[in-house]
Amino acid sequence: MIVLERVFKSFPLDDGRSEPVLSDLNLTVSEGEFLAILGPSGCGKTTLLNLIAGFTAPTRGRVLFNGTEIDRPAPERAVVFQDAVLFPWLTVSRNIAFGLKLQGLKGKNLDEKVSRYLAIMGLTEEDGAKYPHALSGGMSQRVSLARVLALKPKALLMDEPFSSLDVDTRERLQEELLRLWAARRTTVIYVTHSVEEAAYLADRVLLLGPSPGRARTVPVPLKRPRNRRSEEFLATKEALRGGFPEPLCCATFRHSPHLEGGFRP
Amino acid sequence: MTGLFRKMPKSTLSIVLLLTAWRLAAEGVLLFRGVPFPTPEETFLRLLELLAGKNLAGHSLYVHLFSSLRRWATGFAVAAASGVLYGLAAGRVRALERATSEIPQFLLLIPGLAWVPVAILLFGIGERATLFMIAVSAFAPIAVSVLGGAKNVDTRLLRAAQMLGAGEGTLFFHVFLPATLPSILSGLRIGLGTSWRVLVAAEMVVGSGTGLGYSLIQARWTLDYASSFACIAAICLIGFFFERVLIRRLERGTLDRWAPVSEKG
Repeated sequence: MIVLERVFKSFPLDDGRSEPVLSDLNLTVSEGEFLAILGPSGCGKTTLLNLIAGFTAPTRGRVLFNGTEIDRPAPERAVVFQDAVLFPWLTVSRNIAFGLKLQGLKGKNLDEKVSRYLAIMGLTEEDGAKYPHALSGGMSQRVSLARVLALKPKALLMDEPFSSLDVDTRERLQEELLRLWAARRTTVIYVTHSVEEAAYLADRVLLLGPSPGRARTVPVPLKRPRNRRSEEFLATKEALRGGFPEPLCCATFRHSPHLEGGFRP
Repeated sequence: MTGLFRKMPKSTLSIVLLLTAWRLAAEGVLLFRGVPFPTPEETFLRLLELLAGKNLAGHSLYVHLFSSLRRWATGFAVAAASGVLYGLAAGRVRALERATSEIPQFLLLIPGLAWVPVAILLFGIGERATLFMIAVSAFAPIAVSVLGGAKNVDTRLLRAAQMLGAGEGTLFFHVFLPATLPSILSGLRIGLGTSWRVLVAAEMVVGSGTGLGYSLIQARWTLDYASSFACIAAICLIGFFFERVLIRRLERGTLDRWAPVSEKG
């Protein structure tokens, strides 16, 4: 379980002042839950994910994972970044093996596990011998997913992982993610600025407004598998769009092309 | 004619142009100043004579060559080790960077020959003064390049490694070091050229008794310009060889595999 207690996070500005990004945020994410964090650019989505990942510490408040305060990154809270972030000097197989080796796996066991995760993510042994520069965006994200899934994390933190991919690849990877999540029931926190993506993937959506402190969670009352063209799905999308804790002005909308359709004040 | 140029390798074309310009300069100097200027053919023949064992400033060309290479290797090794270690350390330790990063920038502005009085005051005339000049001149470009690379290592790579379970040692040797390698190689390439040029200049001025720089200036005092030119050709060929063999081989084994040249820019 992930718990945020009255979390406040600000960043120092050049003029000596500090800019609050998150203010007084309380959140509980249950084990096995799929939570999407939705909001316009600059609302603190990635900051929130970084706090849970342990990359940064809150200015005030506490972030707990299974009752323990998070103070550093760890494989139990694995992160999938927006741009895959593979090590360019390692082949695909060695990228996947990186974390496994740090867990003490070696020799035949390591090779077998790498091969298994290549296969799970639809990659061939031939792909495994390639360097990251030779991969497409979709393949890179598959490797990035394989790299963290192989570590069997308790929570998967995903920062707009498919946002730079074309629609077909994005939807295919969303399906694969849901399949893996259904099989493993790993807690997933998924940052996105696409209403459709949040409605399609999540059990619950945390809506972050452009002002710090304006946040609320909304459940997604849809059964799986979800149909993107169904009346219910479209209604859920509309409800999410209308559910923001404060009106999103036109400027915010202009900076967030994925918040398609605009927001009702 | 244009087709012939297109078919020529780039290096061959450069050599042909250089030799043509040299030949024209030799003819021009003879015509307008009445001074014999060694042509490429004369220089080549003298180089062959020297390679066959002809005496040059009291020793064979091989003795001079060996002396120069020994000095260069020692001075460059000191510069490379100290420059790379300093750059990596200052790139990792913020306080060290803040306190010292202007020093290599400052050293970079000092021409190699300007170190002559310092070298002589510190070490007297001879071998150690030459080594000091090589090391101090090559240190600055290596340190600046490595520090620049180390400071700009993509934070996301470090975070990805931490999230996969990397401790400080793994982070340094398996992420930070390979991520800095392009800057290390770039620094070594510049340092190699600098150290070779300073070596020759130091041998000409500091008085080493042997070496390509020493023999070049001795041949000039005896008006044996063809031998001087042969020494220049030897210096140039050796520098070119080291740059191509040492650095290019390292690059081919690493950077070219991680990201082919066409994708770097």
